[in-house]
Amino acid sequence: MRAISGLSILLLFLLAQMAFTGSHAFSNDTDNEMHVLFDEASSLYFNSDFNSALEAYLDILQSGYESPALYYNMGNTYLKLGLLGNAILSYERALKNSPYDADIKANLLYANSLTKQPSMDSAAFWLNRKIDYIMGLFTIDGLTIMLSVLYALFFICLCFLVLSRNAKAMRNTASAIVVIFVIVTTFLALKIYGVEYIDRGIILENAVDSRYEPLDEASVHFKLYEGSKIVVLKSKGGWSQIKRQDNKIGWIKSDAYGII
Amino acid sequence: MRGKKICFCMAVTAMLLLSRNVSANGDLEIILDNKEVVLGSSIRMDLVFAEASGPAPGMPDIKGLKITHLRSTDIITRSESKTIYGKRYTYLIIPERPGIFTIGPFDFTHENKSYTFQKTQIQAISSFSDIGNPKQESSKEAAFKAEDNVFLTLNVSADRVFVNEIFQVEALLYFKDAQLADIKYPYLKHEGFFIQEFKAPRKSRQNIKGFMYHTIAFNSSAFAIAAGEQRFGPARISYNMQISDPLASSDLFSKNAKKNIPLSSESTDKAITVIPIPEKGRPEGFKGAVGNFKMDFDIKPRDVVKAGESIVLTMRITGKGNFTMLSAPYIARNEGIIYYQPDISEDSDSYKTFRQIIIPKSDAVNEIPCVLFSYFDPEEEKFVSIKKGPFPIRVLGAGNKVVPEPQSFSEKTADPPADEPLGEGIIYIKESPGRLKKQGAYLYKSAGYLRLHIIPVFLYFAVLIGCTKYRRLKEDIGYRRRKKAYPQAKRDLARSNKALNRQNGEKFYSYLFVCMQEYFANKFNLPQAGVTADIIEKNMKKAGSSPHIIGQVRKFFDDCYIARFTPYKYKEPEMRDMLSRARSIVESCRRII
Repeated sequence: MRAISGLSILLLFLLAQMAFTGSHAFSNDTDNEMHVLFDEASSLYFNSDFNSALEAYLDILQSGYESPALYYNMGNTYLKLGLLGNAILSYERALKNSPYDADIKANLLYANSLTKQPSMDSAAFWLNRKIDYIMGLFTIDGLTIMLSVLYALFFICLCFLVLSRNAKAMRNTASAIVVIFVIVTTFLALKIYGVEYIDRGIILENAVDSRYEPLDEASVHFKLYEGSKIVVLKSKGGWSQIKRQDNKIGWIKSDAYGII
Repeated sequence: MRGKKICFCMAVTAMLLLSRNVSANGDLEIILDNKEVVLGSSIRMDLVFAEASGPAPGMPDIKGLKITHLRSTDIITRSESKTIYGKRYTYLIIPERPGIFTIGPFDFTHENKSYTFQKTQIQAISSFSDIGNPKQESSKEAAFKAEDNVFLTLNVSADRVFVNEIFQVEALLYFKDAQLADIKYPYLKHEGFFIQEFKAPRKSRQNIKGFMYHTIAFNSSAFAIAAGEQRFGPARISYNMQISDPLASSDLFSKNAKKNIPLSSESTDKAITVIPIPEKGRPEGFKGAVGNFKMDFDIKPRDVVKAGESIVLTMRITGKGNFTMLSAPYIARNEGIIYYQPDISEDSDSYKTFRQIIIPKSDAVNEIPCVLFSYFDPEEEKFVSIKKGPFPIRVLGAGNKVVPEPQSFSEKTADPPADEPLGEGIIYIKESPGRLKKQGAYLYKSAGYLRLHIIPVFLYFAVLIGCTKYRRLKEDIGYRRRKKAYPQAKRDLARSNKALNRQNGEKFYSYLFVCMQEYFANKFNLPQAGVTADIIEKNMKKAGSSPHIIGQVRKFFDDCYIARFTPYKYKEPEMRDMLSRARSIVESCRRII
């Protein structure tokens, strides 16, 4: 027994070591460098030098790092520069990583109120709207942690089942955990599918003609305004087939939108 | 009563037959593909004889109508195990002048059988201006192009419209003896017009000059934005024509291979006279709405409101007309009221709803101003105004409430005011970047994080193994004694060693014997008192121990007996040797048994 306990501790230690040398970690030097750059950008913003502030924020982004606060500040800077589409895009990216942040929500709401595109939220099927709302409450990492906790709880329940002979309550608890686990797994799968495989975008140009065909001379199907939400279906030769919130499909130039 | 019902059913059946242009007369069936025809085009008539084989029967001369025999087709049917050979005679009926023509009734004989041709009426129309709907206009243009396998016509519902007046547009693609694929939506030249998006295309079939064409209709609506003589169109549709690939057809496995040839068809353009909306008689609040509309109006709250609280005016415009260019109704101004921009929801074909919020600033306001909606009716060619209100309302004092000024516009169709600086009213930036992570790095992709999930599994197995052992120790006495045997023997041997160090030979041998006796009693789960060399030997043999170890054990116990029960002077080397042998036996038997 003593040997098993010793081995367990050793294994836990090794696994913890392995976990924290994963892809999420980066060196303290880089961390400090990014924080300094962020502070500089914030000072420039404070001094109303929005162009320089934006450049500094973009430097951090180009280094390969991101955070909700970074996207949020970029959104504010874009808004100050009058680039509404880019501002909404940045806020959406921030919200994707931090769905509960009230500041992001408030500024995004404000930015959306400045767009010329009529609201099409009600155009979607009610069930899709509900699903989108629920999915918007979670992040991929949040769901992953939730799943890991459920996983650990399940095994703890199993341990208690082994230790106690009369464990009807434990069995029920384990069954409930399995059910919740399946639900959370489904959510996570849908979330990953939505983030990794569905390209949602924001129109960056003032007014974009969506055409029936990927040709300059093709008939205009409908108009899209800066800040409009779209889903990119496919891209071909500098053109992208997109779907508007009311499910209308058309072709626009690929440089007219940014992916959230 | 029953007779009346039968008569009614027969009448209904007759009407249905007539409406489908089919009349049956014994063994003769007469089928007409249409009862209306435009000059220059034709109607196809089939006479189907149940049992016939000869040449086509002649048709009577009808003034202004030319009936010519087109072809004869054999028909074979099987009824009650009997094969019937019939004939279908196809005629083309071509009108020579406009009017209503009556064919029949008349009797005729064909192959010695008498038949009656029932009375049938056909209407010939002289020009397309007689017809309002674009589909029939289409048939005129189609008739001219009917020699082509594929052609496109463009039809509009009116050639004289007012600015902003909606008219219907139809691009009709005809094709026969050809397979078309990847048919694109039409591209329409529409300078001076605004065209709505095309609806989903409709497929149908149409007979033109005796040829059966497949048609695909693309419908939309449009309105003119500038007055004058305008040209609308032409329309162009691109598609792929599928033909059998002669090279691929030679291959046994790709006999049905098709080759796509990209082609396009273009229609003619249309002349449309666009008339400006009259300046004279324009009512107050007219903002360019053209059509025939109704307005439903609602106010909430209607009777009492506090100063600074909002009143919602809902104006729902329904009817027929141009909803795209329909602006919010005019609301009379009142200095004591704050007006927000209306929120708009619409369906481009049937309604538009304006939700207007107004806020009375003080209790001096005593009525909601009147709402005026004016439009131009193009059919009546006059302006119509719908006025609602003013509505009396009681405004209570604001108390401590601060009356808000409008901050942001929810106007969705107009540009924000030029002097409104963007970014005003947003929450300030964040001071810290928070937890920076690599872009696209999620926990579920992290190998380290995934590795951590082995821990609960390992923990579970540790608990499972430990618990199983603990239970066995608790419940299985033999197992517990076996497990206990070795550590206890070690302790007892240490006690013997102490006795040896004290040079107490008697105690040494006594301890050593008891130690080994207890060891084997535990090992074989035997009562300690009954353990003898013979019993140990028997059990060891049963457990499959080697004869060498069994010999060692036996000799050890024999030597112990001699040392304990014979008068003997204990010598230290011998005692040490005995202790060493005891240790060796304990170690050897630890794994073996």
